[in-house]
Parts: sequence; structure tokens; C-alpha cells
Amino acid sequence: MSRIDDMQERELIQRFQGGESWAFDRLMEKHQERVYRIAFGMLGDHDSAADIVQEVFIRAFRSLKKFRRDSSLSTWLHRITVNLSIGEIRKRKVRNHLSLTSFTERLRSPIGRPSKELDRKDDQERIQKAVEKLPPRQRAIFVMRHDEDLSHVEIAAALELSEGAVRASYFQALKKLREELGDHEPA
Amino acid sequence: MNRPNDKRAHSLSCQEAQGFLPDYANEELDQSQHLALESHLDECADCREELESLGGLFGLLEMRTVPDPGESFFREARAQVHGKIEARRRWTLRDLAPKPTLSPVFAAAAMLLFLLLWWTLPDAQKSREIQPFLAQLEQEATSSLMDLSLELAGGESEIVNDLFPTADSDDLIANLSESELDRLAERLEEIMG
Repeated sequence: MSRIDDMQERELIQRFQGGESWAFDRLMEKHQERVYRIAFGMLGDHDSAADIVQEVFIRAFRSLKKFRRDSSLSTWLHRITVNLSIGEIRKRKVRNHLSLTSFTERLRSPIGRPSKELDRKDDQERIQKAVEKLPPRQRAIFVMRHDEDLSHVEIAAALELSEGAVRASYFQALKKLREELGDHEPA
Repeated sequence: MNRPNDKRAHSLSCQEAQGFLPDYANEELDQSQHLALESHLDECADCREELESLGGLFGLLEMRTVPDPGESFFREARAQVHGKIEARRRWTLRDLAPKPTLSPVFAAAAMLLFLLLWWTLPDAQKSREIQPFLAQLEQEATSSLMDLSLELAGGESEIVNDLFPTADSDDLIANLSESELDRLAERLEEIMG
């Protein structure tokens, strides 16, 4: 990932707003990996995360001309990423209601199997399945805090919540994961 | 266990304390938060138990990884974003151009003119060659009208999204509550039989 500090970022935004579209490429270069990681963490598959990356930056391109330069671009991009990912989660939920296949897949899910049978890959799948059972906003908070190590303040800004609400929600997410994963020891 | 409304000075409620537990387990609290939490933990067995169970969970969660798709993926993604932006710009320009909206009107007006001429001509002068021309004109007018209807009905959703960004389906779905989403799913199931 290229290293662009906040001052350079503001200058790039200014240049883009002044009509130099190459500056957008540099901004995308800086932020796209984290956008991908948040989307992947929430959705659990590469193709969906790749679609989210594209949509986030297409929307950013359309709206960046009106972006206030004193705002944080990353906060804004994370908000779009989370909202689009939540939209995708909800579309999947609707599709799953309609799909018998997904129901049978859920029955075959490794979560129901005894923990002794699980190897490392199964553990990773089991963790991801447990994460995918979290409510969408809690899932976003878990991914941003645990996987991406964003601060409570950054998450609160991106999701327009208080810092206390983010802390409480993160703890609730961990509690649900613990209940879902049980006392299983890693393989 | 301290109740949430416990207002003792410098003490945390269980809810507040639990919000600090993950950062405490990872040694990421500042000094004042650390001291306040330890003071709470000294008195609260429930929160001590919650803290212990977090340790094991973090051990398991260490296995959670996001695969690195590689620089070539990100390079390709940037190229695709530029391609889609350009494609959407072309659609928008096409939408703004007078042709798609006016062509059915012109075609219909031309057809009416020809029909008028057709009716005013004596039968003997009605050439057989005019008939296929009129048929072609009618087909073109119908096709243009269909294109226009498709665009207006959202067939070209990119244009509609550009014009009405708040009507984007992602945003609409994202803003539904859980109960609304369940009702939508149930309704879809009914429709699908």
C-alpha cells in the first residue's frame, strides 16, 4: 500500500476537485486495501468484497467533488463500505429465505460438528460462520475493531454512533461469538 | 454485580466496565480507564468471569485472517473502477442527449405525415413501394418508444441511480429494519409460492 499522509491526501482531494482525475487513482490506491478487508471481513468471500470495492470508489468518484476537505476521507469511505456490505448482507438474507439450498447448506455447516473433528481450516470457517451470524452493525464493529484495529473513535465516526455505544456493541459481539464458538480450543 | 445506574463516584457500571474489557485484555486502555476498571473488577465477580472468557476467545480469533488478494487484484480493480465510471458517464451523456427522447416523437410525427399523405392520395397513385417504407417507419418508431419506456422504467438503472441517488436499492435495503426485512422476505416467499 502506498504511504500518503493526511496533508498529501488533502492536497490530492483538492487536485481532484480542481479537475486532475489522476489524483483519484492515488486516493484509491491508498484506501482500497482497507475497504476490501472490511468488506471481506463482513461478507466472507472475495467476489462480494471485490464488488463492494468497485462500488465504493465509483460512488466516491461521483461525490468527491462535493467532499468537505476538513472531513476524513477514510471515515467517509468506511461508512459507504459498511452500508454497502450491510445492504449485501440483507439481500443475502432475503435470498436465503427463498433458497432451499442455503437451508441445507446451513444444516451441513461445520458449526454443528463436534470440535475434535475440526482442523485449522475448519476453525477459520467456523469463526467466519459465527461472525456472519452477528447482526450487521455489530459485525461491522467487530471487523473494524478486531480485524482492522480501528479505534473506537474512528468506528464511532464512521457509523455515526457514540464511543460508548461502539464499546458496548463490540463487547456484545465478542460475547455472541464466544457463545457460538463455545469453549473450543484451536486445533 | 454493580447495577447500570450505580452512581458511585469514579466507579463504573457493569455495562461500562464490560465495554472496557476487550481493550483491558489487550492492554490498550489508558491509565485512568485501567484504574477505574481494575477497581470495578476487584468488586465484581461477574465481570471478572467475563474477562477470563475473553482471553480464550481472543486466542481462537487469532486464526481469523483476511487473504491478501495481491497487488494485481488492486491494480485491476482500479482499472475496472475507471472503466465503469467512463461507461456510466457515457450513459449519462446519452441520456442527456436529445436523440433518445425526441426520436420517437419525430418518428411518430413523420409517420402521421405519411399517413395523411397516404389518405389524401388517389388510390391509383398509391404506389406499392410506399407500403414497405411505411412498415419500416412504424417499426422504427415502435422500437424507439420501447427503448424510451425501458429507460424510464429503470431498465437503465445506472441512469436512474445517477438521477435519483437516494432511490438506490442498496440504500433502501440497508435502511430497512430487521422486522421490515423479515416482512419483505415473507412477502417474497408468498409471491414465489
